[in-house]
Amino acid sequence: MSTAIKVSGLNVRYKVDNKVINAVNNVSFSLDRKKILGIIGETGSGKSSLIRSLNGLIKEPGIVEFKDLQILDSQGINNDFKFEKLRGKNVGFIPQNPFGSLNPIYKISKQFEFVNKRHKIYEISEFNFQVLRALKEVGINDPERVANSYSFELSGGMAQRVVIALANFSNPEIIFADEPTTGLDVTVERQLLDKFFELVDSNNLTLIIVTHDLGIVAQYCDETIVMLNGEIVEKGSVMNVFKNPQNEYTQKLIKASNEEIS
Amino acid sequence: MKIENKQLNFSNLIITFPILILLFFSFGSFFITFQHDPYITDIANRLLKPSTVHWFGTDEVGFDIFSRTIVAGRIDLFISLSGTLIALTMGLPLGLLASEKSKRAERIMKVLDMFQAFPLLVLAIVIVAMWGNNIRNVIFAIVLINVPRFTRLIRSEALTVREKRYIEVAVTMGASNSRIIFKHLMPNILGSLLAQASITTAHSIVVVAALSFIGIGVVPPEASWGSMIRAGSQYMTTGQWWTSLFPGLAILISVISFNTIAQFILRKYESI
Amino acid sequence: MFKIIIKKLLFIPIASFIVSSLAFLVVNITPGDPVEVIAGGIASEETKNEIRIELGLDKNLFERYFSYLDDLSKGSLGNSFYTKIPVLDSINQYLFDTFELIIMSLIVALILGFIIGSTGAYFRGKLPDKITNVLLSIIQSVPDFFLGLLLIYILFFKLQVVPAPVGRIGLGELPPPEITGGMIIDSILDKNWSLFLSSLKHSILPALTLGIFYSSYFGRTTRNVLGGSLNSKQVEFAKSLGLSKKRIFIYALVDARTPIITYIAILFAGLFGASAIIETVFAWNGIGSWAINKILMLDIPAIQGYILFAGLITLLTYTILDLIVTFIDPRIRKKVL
Repeated sequence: MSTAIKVSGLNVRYKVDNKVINAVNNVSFSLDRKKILGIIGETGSGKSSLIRSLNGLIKEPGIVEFKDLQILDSQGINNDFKFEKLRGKNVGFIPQNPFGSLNPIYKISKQFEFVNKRHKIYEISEFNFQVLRALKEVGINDPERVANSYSFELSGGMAQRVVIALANFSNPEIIFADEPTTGLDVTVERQLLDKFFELVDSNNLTLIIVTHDLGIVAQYCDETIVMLNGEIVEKGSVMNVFKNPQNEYTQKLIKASNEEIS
Repeated sequence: MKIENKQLNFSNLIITFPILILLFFSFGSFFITFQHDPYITDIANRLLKPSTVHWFGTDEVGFDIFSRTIVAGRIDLFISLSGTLIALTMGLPLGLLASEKSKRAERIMKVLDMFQAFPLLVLAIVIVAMWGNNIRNVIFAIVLINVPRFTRLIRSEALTVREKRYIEVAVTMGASNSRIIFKHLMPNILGSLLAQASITTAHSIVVVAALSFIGIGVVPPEASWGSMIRAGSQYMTTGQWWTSLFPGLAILISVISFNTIAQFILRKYESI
Repeated sequence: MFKIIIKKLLFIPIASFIVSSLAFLVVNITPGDPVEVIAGGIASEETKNEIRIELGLDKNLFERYFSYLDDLSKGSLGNSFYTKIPVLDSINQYLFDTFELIIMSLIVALILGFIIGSTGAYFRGKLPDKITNVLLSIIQSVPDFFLGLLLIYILFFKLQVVPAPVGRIGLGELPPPEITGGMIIDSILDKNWSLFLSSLKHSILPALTLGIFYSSYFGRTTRNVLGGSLNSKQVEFAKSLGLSKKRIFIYALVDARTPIITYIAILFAGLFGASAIIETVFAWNGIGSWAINKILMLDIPAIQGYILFAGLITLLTYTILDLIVTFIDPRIRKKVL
């Protein structure tokens, strides 16, 4: 099947005290394999909730509803059990802040070990080699030092590379990325993005990346979805949306960032 | 993001139960004419099981437990509430002072920290034992062990409020200290203050009971839940459970009521 | 840096001094005349004066303070007014009894509290969480001495599964030779197994009482802290990597270790004072019941000594906690080692 992911009627609600906040409202889209989808939105548009709901990562007090969700060969996903089968093996996730996500008391190599043991990816004999290879793949030039370090000993850019390497370690087919480079210095961001999309390309990954940076979408993505207040206001190929934005909000966004498709 | 408002009025109803219970314990003794006088002993009828004559049974000297439980509520709740409120009143200025950036503030906090090193219940016992068994001293003990708690609370709330931008603006515009306090600090602090007062009262009820349980503070023939439990304690091994059970349940219900009220206030306060 | 450790250790003598002074203050700034109460109503003026002199109450506050400090520097806490036994000796005799009770209660409280709390944290917001919340609230609201009496009625009178609450061992039994002062430890050291068993059985009720009551506080802390950890970004990433539920739970625990260890220390220090009343209910003969007796008799030197001692124990506990917390942070550990 050529569809990587197909979702319809997605709702994400948060119940806080007596109020209900609708973070995501009736979202539907589909994405073919090996394609890259960029989800654009400003803070509060629901994009973070959206991408987490697709990976079963929404927790209390959030409630998620699908009319239908299909990821790779797994159909009719509607409970945590089904998500568990996919997470870390077929589906990877890259969060925004590496220091919040990496465990500070285990060495980096140990954290790879946990993933390896869990999904039985590599034999012990080639494990070390694979870890170093994974770290090199994300552009780390001294992988041995990094593998033996703790997360707090690394710089922001380095730590985020480690996160990417970890998410990709089991050779997943799909990766969800939530603003993976926001918060990094501009020069670091550039380098990291290049390396990241190189990795996506060479591994034939399907990627859904959430960002507020239209430049990234314009440069790297095949398709795009624009979100506003929890709803999709525009979707389509990057070419079409950027050249002929139908929705007023999209038009404003594009105007504001003044991007052209190269 | 869309926000809907779904007020569940049912949760507002729940609060009436605790309030009614507490009102009953506090003032019930003034309005009910008891079947049996709570202060008259009746040795011939000692240690009777609960019955239609004595609803909660009688204790070792023949006191009617039902009437005494209600009357004890009056005293125990009065002491706990007044002690808490006085501690709050004293903690307010202290907390505000401690939230300034001054030497005085640091000194206050150091004293409070030292205070924390002692087991507070024991301190309360020492105070009442040495100063004498009367209601005034019990209230004083309650005040003493709770002033630090309120000082800390008010200080931390005041610090948070002080950080807020509009305080900076008010100060630059020349507002005086007291104006800042009354107009800006107070309304924000009120919710958590009331909730904490409720919780502290609940805690104080247990302290007061503990004191009269070991025989100091409010002592017989005056009625107090703690001393009633004490009187019944030896009979737990011989099976006369009612002598200690009912005053104990009264404490339990009062404590739960105050805690529920506190939760309620906190929830209301958060959604503002 | 060892500098950190040294700085913290230096704090102890200063704090001890302040604690000692506070202990003195609390007992000696009393309105009214303790001599009146001690002497009783019918004593003559002469007797009262004798008492006054013996207690040192004829001297003014400063003189009393200095003689107190003087005693302290010689390692003495004075003598009990009634029994003339040195206060330090009494404390020594009863200390381990109380420690045994505290340790056993702590074990119950930690295990029970952890189970209830982590259940609530794991199922946050759902039914098990709501149930555990109510359970914790109810346990917290029952006065501990009342709980003790209830347990006596249920477990001793009704179900008859525990021995009578007459003390640490049965009425007819003789205690083992006193090495540490703790009944359980001493009976092990004496290899007196029947006594060991008996003292364990007699510990059930008081340890359960304190344990159940304080499990509510620990349970609440566990639920909140673990709940927060289970919602953290770290756990989210670990979940996304597909790590096992067990591994994720360990991650959350590790993330929560500092507040949990801190709370255990708080509980330990708190149990020291809280065990006093329970000791009287169960005739436990530890420091707490000794102290309460002394307080009720207005045995001033003993009261002073006890308060000072309690303050020092708390101080010690928090200092050790501080050191432990510093070391479980790998950032600091790496710098030191």
